[in-house]
Amino acid sequence: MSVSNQVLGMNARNFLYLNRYNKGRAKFAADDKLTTKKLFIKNNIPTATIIQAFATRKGLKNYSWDLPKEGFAIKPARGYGGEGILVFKNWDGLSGTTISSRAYTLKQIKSHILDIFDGIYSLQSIPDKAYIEGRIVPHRFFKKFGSMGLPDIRIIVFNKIPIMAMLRIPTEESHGRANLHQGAIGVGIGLRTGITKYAILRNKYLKFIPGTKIKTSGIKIPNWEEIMLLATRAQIVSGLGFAGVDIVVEKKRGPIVLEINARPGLSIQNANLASLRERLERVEALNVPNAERGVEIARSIFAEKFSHKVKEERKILSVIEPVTIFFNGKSGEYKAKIDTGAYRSSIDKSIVEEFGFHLLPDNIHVSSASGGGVRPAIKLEFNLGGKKISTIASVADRSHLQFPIIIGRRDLKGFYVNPLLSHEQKSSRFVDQDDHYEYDLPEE
Amino acid sequence: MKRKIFALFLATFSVVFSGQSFAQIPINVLPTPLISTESGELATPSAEQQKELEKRKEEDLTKPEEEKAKKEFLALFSKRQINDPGLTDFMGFFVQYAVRNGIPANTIILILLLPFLATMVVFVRNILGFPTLEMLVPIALAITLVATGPEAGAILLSTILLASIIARYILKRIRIMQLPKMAISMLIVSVFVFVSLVTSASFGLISITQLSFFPVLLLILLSDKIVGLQLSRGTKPAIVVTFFTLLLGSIGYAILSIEFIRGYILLYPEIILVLLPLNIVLGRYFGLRLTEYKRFAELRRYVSQ
Repeated sequence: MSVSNQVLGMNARNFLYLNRYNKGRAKFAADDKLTTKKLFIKNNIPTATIIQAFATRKGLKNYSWDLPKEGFAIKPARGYGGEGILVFKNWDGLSGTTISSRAYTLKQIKSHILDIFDGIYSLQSIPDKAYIEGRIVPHRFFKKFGSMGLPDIRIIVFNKIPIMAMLRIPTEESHGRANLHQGAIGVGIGLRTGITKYAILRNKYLKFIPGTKIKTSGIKIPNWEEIMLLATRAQIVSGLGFAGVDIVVEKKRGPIVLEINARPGLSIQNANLASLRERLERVEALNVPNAERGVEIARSIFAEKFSHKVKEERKILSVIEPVTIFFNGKSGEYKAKIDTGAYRSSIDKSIVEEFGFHLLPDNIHVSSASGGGVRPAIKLEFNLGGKKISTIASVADRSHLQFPIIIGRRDLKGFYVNPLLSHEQKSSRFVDQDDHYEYDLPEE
Repeated sequence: MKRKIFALFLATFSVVFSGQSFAQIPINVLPTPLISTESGELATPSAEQQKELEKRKEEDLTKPEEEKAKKEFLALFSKRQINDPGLTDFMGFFVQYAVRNGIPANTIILILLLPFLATMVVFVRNILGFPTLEMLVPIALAITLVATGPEAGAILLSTILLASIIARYILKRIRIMQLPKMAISMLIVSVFVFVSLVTSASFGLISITQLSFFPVLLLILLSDKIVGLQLSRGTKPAIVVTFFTLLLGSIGYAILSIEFIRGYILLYPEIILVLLPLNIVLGRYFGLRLTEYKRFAELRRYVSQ
């Protein structure tokens, strides 16, 4: 099959992809954010929580307005381009303030919701529903790009395969919205590494993110693989064949799906300096069994040119690993046992005394084979496999045991553990032939 | 809130009822020739105006033509006499048959030229990549302009657009339900159209006084769409879309009123079949639109390497 290296234009997008792969019903459902949200919740795809949905005047009249004090958002189900959305930063039960510092009374809010019912903000001006959503607090990583709005990640997913991705940063010009044609910044993301390369603002290439000293290239998106997987699962659930999935990383819950778009824009090609059409044609005929495989395919065939220079973040640990503990400028290396059977890490009290750690005021509950109990805990910072980990560890008398520290599941995020591997073998780079598929080591 | 609405009602009624006293003042104040001249001239237009009216009637290509024009059309048919219609000329035969049997040639011309306008919109949107307000709006605008004539059309359109924008602007702040809002908006537009009619009459712009209502209705629907666009997509895109819609409407108007094209389509109506393969070719063009060559200029340099 020949693959054209042409840029994907509107004509080709509409006829070759939207018409063929986004059928009427799925498209109608995707345009209704409330329906989409319910579908996501049903399929265990994390999304912003729905606090309350209103479909009738009666429902509106009988509602208690017992809403979270730290804020919420009121949205029309079939809204377009962010119209009709009110985001509150505080609420006292009878009135609240929006993020643009406008005060609203309960009466004004009710009137706004009645407007939504009338379809003022819906795309086709048809009667609409309204819903109240929990306020999304972004992960601190996304806060540094500017104070306007909520940065999100747009991933185009086609046939269960992520095709292209970008980070979208709202600006003052875009009025806090993340749409590129409204003046938001688009930063292309390499699918293999999750590292950004180019950025555009109104079709002009940027070296730095305006208003900050952050270079637009080389930003590494946290939880990248998880984000891609989530986007792919959302596309599969939505029934759309060709979808733009918008994801935000929340402070507490991690990546969640913000919404799904049945007619994703084409500027993402400029932000990545790559053709969508070429990529789409390369994967169109593939038979992909599930989201995991789709992400795997995307990471292999859409790998960016520089990807071989980037070390994989996922490390393989043996059962016994050296850890370096840091406290008050002091550090020391110990041998730790990797224990996937334990939740928390545990540390011997001799080390605690040696470093002079302060015990936390509250003890923590632990359960073990010898029965549950309450143990004192400390705040611990250590280095494991090249990664710095901050955690809370329980303190125990481990003097009768071989290793003074055990590392529990809580602190093993992003690692593989291979029980056949001893630390010495790993350091001599000896790889057992039978398990070589488990290694995803960098080429250099 | 209730008290405010009541006050509003009271204010409205008081204006209406005290209107009697207002009504006596203004008539003589208006410095318009139509009203301030002797009463005899009010009812019947002058001979000069009568002549202009006749001319305007002849110009209105959406109305059935007058006897004189009809004779001209029939004379035109002598250029292509079809006595024995075959596969290649049966369309021409039927057109001539229809005109001879009393169907207005103007109507037939408009019907036959419609697909040309549609193809023009297709070309501008899918190949050049400029936005227009749907497909039918530029076409409807072109036909409206044919019906009203260019000056009257321009005056009306700008009046209605202005009125719609003002109406939306005012009504944005008033918290009532959507349908009554639209009714009020219609009221504001109606008042503006009425005022523009009166003003035009006072300046002696005769073409606008002879308007039938349907072009006005079409223009109101059109401006409602434009204002709706401004609401949902913002001012800048709305201006761009409006510009291209008006441009296409004007080009369409030109096509519909050029004498050569009108005569040609009447004589050789088969020409519209050319649009069939043309549209199929246009419909299979999946390359970039002209505007997209600019949008993706940098990217294209990079991708083709």
